[in-house]
Amino acid sequence: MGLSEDQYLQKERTMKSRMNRRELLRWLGLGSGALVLAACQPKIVEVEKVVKETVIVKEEVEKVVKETVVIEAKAAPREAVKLRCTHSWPADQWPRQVEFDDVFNQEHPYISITGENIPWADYVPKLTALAAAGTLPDLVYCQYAWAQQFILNRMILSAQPYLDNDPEFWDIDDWVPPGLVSYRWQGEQYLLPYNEGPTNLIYFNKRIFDEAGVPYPHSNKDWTLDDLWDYAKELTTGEGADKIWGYDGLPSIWIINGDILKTWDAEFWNDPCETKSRMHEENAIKCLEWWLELYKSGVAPTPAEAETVPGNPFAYGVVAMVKGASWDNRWIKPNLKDPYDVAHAPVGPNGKRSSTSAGSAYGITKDTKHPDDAWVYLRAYNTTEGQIFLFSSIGIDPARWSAWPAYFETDATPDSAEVVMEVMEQYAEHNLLDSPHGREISTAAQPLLDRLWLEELTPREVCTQITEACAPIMKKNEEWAALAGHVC
Amino acid sequence: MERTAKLATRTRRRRLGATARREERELYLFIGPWLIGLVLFYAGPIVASASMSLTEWPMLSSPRWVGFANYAEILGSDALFGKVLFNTVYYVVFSVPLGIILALVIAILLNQKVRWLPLFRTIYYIPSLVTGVSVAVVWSWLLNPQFGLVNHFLGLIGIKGPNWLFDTKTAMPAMIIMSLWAVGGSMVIYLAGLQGIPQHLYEAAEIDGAGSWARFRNVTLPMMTPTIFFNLIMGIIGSFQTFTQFFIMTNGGPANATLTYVLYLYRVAFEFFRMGYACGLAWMLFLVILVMTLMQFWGARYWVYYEAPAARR
Repeated sequence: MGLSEDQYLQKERTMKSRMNRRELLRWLGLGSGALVLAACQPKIVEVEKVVKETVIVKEEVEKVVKETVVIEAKAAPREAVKLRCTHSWPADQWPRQVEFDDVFNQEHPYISITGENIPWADYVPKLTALAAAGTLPDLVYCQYAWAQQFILNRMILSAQPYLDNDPEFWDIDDWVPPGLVSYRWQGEQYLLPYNEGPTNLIYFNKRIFDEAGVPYPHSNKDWTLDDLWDYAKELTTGEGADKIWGYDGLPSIWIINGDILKTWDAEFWNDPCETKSRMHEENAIKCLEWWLELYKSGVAPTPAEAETVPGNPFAYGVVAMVKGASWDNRWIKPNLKDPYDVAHAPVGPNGKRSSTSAGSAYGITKDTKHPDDAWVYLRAYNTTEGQIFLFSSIGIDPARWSAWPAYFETDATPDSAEVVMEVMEQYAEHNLLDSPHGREISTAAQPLLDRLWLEELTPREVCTQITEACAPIMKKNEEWAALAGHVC
Repeated sequence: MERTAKLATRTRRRRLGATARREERELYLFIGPWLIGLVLFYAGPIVASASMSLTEWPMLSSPRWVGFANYAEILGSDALFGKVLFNTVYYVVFSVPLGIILALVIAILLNQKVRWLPLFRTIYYIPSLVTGVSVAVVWSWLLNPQFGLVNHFLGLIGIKGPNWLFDTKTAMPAMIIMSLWAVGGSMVIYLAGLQGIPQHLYEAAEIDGAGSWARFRNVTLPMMTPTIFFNLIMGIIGSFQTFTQFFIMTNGGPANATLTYVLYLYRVAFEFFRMGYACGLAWMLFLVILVMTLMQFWGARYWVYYEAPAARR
């Protein structure tokens, strides 16, 4: 028995008047979306409060600005500018940076600098992404290894025009010479270094030396590599958890030229051209043979043994001497409980010492809309006062000679901090892989050097294979070296 | 009656038409965000990377067209390409089958009727939830030659443990062992597959006198082959793209012994500033994975059993 027409239509009307499941879900979804949208709306009350607070702050700023104008004899009014600067500081350094930026902002009411601290591992990926998007900050931190890439790709603006108009700031004699090298191109300075320090220092643990009755390295100013060997053997004692090693600091590729090979009258790359490898020559082979014998004698922890202590073995107090850079003091000082000091590296077979010198810099990027104001910040960052505040007063060796006295006055440096400056004055040279293919060179060579310490290859094989592996890469640097004006 | 039927039909047609249109609109409304995400975050970058691979692009400046020069360099003069491909294949060839076997064995054990079964399932699944960096740090300590637990337990049974991550011969085996930590994810899939095997098959086998091994070999394994095949494909694809553990634990060392393909690709992009070349490497990897996957599908006809005849290849 079917429905009559009236009954059918009544049933339809009834169905239509009831909400079905699909309609219910639709309304629920729309309702939820509306709730979410409503929740995302800024609260008027808070905006009003922020606006009122901003008005109060603005009044105070205006008061400061008016006072500044009276003192400075009425500077012309101008539009406020916001600048961004990326950094990659460790956590203990960041508060100092923030403090500097606050002082800068107070002293320059029309410029507001905001710093962004990016973790080291993320820095280059993030920076390259920003560069690709055309949204680089106004200023960037730059390590020596990236500088030529940044400059050649026109990511960094030349600072030379500003420097030429500011002879008081750009007193070239006040700048530590190796610090400028990586950041120059065809006679123009693109980035300004903020620190520069040697990489071939010997930090030594006085307690271990005293217990073994071995004289400190710096008590013998002419101590040699053979002395290093003898000291290291005498200082290596114990087994297992009581093990003390005499020396740590196997050569790695990035400093091998200046720190290791030069005192053997050898070199890996022909600095500054980086177009040829001399690693296969006899002096380089003899050098690596010596270091391998030192390593095999058991005075240095293997990489596996080094992993067994929390942090760095020297800072943990189980290594008597370690080869390190000046900036290594920043993690040694707070971690090592024993008294320690720093000494010149030993004299090499050619009767000389040598050391690489390295540091980092800041530059103004191509995407800045306010290059002149960015220069104001960069300049403030690198005045003597700026370098003292940010670096030398907390134990980081600055890039200006005039900022060095503050380095000696701080407690954050080793007792014999003058050694660091002596190295910079007497024999430290740049000797780093600056070329655009520098990273490829070190990446090709380092695994071969690793195989030397693993005793999978002899020193002769390592040296020969390094030259074979790096020669085609170094050849790509010929054009760069010619354009840079290097004599190869 | 006829009039009623006609009226009902006409009404149904009108309602269906309106409903279908409405449903169509709703469909696109609800899948819209996903579609936009697919285009923006998958399809778009895939197309972009293909075009980037034909350029020399440091990312710091504009790309420069070089055609297929990147591919020619990859196949011709890149000294590390063969090495990283070998390392990666070495890792895949051992980690995937071992992972499948281990996950299957654990799933079979967890498919038994024992007490506290949910607890055991949870215990075996939890490690697969831990993030890559945490796993890498933990395993770096476990594999320490001097004080790591692995060598400690080996020492208890009289075996002197190797240098694991610090020896070129044992570094990759160490990473393969570490990869077995996360079998919990595929174990769950196998468990679901095991529970889908009809009981009457086991009963029939028992009636025919099959022992436990015969039942496993003739019932369990064949019925599990589709699941195994799925995990094999996904395992190969995932293993070829392993990055985090190698980046954290060894960074490709010692002496490039654990330098895998994606780690090398990352290095080329962000340390050598050659994004165009890195995109070329990515597409080469895609081709390698595609070939391996097609080979698996071709070989599946010989060992993957699907119950429904139409489902067989």
